[in-house]
Formats: sequence, structure tokens, C-alpha cells
Amino acid sequence: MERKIQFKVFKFNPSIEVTPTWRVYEVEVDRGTTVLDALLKIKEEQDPSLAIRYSCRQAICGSCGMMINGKQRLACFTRVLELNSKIIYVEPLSNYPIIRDLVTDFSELFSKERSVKPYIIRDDVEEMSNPTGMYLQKPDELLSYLQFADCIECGLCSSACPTVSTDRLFLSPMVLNKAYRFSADSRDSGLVHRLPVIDSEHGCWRCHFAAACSSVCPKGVDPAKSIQLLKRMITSTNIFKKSRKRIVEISSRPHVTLSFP
Amino acid sequence: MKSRENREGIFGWLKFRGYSIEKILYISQRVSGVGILVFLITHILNVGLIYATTGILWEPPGLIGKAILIILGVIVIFHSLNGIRLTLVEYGFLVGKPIRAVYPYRMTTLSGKQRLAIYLVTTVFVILMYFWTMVAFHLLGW
Ligand code: SF4
Ligand code: SF4
Ligand code: FES
Repeated sequence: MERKIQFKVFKFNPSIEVTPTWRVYEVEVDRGTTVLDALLKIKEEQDPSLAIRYSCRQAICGSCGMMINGKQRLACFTRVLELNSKIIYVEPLSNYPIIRDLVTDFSELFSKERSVKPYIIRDDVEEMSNPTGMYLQKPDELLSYLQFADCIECGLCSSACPTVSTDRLFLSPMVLNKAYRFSADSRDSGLVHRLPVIDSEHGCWRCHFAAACSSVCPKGVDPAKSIQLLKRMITSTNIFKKSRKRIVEISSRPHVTLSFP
Repeated sequence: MKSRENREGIFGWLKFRGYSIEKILYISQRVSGVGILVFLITHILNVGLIYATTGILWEPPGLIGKAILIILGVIVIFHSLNGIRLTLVEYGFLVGKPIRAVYPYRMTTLSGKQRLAIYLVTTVFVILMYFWTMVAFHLLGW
């Protein structure tokens, strides 16, 4: 069953316009139409100048985040009719600079992400560059970070976070989640290298548990949880001087032949 | 009006539609915190000024003074109770263990022990409010 739904879409090209405008479009949608489908339909049939960013159309690439009826959502993961409203407002994600229309600039977020060294850091540097075996993990060691590794870097959480809205330098939930994901990994011993950034004025202590990040995350990552666990990890290593968890050692498995180009 | 920067500023703190109850509590915690701070500063200045000019350090509060005290009590009780929950949460208690993210997703920060703590805080708040009302009536001499 098709239904006509009105879309009010934010249009703004900061390089040539001074103020944004709202354009109204009408689109026929059915049960399965996502907001992204509808926007693409608008782009094809009504307004080719509409700028959108997307890639996978299945909540994997994390590029189609936008404000839909005032809340951070993935356009490809939101069906129009599930919103239950006759008029749908579509705006670019808040707290990111606008490039054009619905496309926002993530470069600041990604440079913050690089600053927390989002990769495994170990002392056995030689083994890391010329591996002779593998690092084995127990299931519970895997579970300690698996949920946080599901992040698709869509940046919805960092857009929803109230701290981000007033503190431009705050690392933001996406980045702090990433920092915890690696620090909690039993193969990693890099917390001390990340501390100067995450245990700083604009680091994890700026989070005040509004949990807005977790309530918008489309992948069940629960960044509010990883951030509080990160605070706990920092407190127990810095203040209570608890030694870090055991780091898994290399285990060479004779029956596995490793060949790296 | 949106600009290129598109930062929400202080309005980002106050938005709650579409988010969870934790966001509302976050706003209340901030507002009550600012309220207590404003009271403290004006109170110290007020008492200090009166003492400096008249030499009187304490006088029974008048009707406005009593009203302010009663409201302050409500705010302080809320701020402390919610603050205990937040302290626990921020040290990694109550948020639950990492789980597998399997659809339909469940956020343990938005359910489970953390939510129970919210209900507990609300219940204790309501009980304390009952006693506080009696104190207030007594203060007002009703
Ligand atoms: S829990 Fe922390 S990081 Fe997440 S939205 Fe709230 S303040 Fe931001
Ligand atoms: S934690 Fe969730 S909301 Fe945040 S970037 Fe990752 S997937 Fe997106
Ligand atoms: S298009 Fe890839 S997440 Fe929506």
C-alpha cells in the first residue's frame, strides 16, 4: 500500500548561500521504503541538486547519518512509515560542520580518532612486524571488547552527545569507545600511550552520562557503557595502581603456516 | 538559524525529545547544580554584606527566606540522590558487562541495574519529599 508523505528537507550550500532553506517534497512510500530510498527518489525525480552521502544502504558503512524528525538516525536504517508522522523533517547531523545540504564534515572527528591510537599496541614490536605465531584469546577475553568493536563510525553518538555541543575539543563518544575497545583487548598494552589524550581536560571525564549516545547508536554498541568502563580502567590503573590484565603472549602453532606477503 | 558550523551550543544540553530518561536526569542534575551554586554565592554575599554593614550574623528567615530554604531542600535532596547514582555509574558500576550486540539490540546502560537505580532514586526522593513537606509545614508554622 503506497502512501504520500511530505518531506521537509534542509538545503544549504555554505560556499554560496548565507542562510539555509527548507524545501518540501512529496514522495510515495510503502512499507519497506527507507528514508534514504525516499531521498534518492527525490534526487532522481524532483531535485537533482540535493546532496546526500551514502554507500552501503544496509547500516554497515556509517555514512548516511542525519537528523530525522529531530533525532540522529541512519537514513538507510529508518523506514519512513515507522516514524509515524505525516511530515518528515530531514536535516544534517548536528554538531558537525555542514558541507552541503545533508552532508557533514567528519574530518575533525576522524583526527580525534587517530589521536587515541586506535590499533593494537604491544611491546614486542619485532613480533608485530614479523609475526611468527598468533595471539590466542579466550572467549571471555573476546567478549570484553566485541560489542564495542561493532562500531561503524557513523558518528550519530558524537552528534547526540550534549558535551560535544558545547565543547568542540571533547573527544566524543565514538572516539572514547574506540579507545576502550583497544585498551580492553587482551592483546593490547597501549593504555599508557593513550592516556595523555583520553585522561585529559577534553577526555573521558567530560562525559556526564546523559546516555544520549547509547540511545541513538544504531548498532547496539552502547558507547555510554564503554566510556564508564574506560573511566573505571583509568581509575584502577592510575589511582589504585592495580596492575593491568594479563597480556596474551604469542603462541606459535606448528600446524598453521603463516605466510605474509 | 543554522550556520555552517551547526553546533547546538547550550541547547544541546536541553534537548530531550527522542532520547532516554537519562538525558532528562542529566539536564535536571545540571540545572539543580547551577541552582545550588547560585544560591551559595548569593547567600554568602548577602550574609556577608549584612554582617559588614549591620553586624548582625543571624536572624530568623522571613517568609521569602523560608520559601527559598524549602525549594533549596528539594533541589539538594534530588541533586545528592541522583549524584550518588551518577558517581556509581561513572566508576563503571551499574552499567553492566559487555555483551554481544545481537539484533534487536539491548543497551545495558539504558536498562538493567542502571534503570533500577533510577527507580530507587525516584522512590527515595518521593519518600524524603514526604518528610520534607512536613518540615516545610513546620517551618511555615502551618
Ligand atoms: S554518556 Fe557521555 S559521551 Fe555519551 S552522550 Fe552522555 S555525556 Fe556524551
Ligand atoms: S558507537 Fe554507535 S552511534 Fe557511535 S559511531 Fe559507533 S555505531 Fe555509530
Ligand atoms: S548507507 Fe551505509 S549506513 Fe546507511
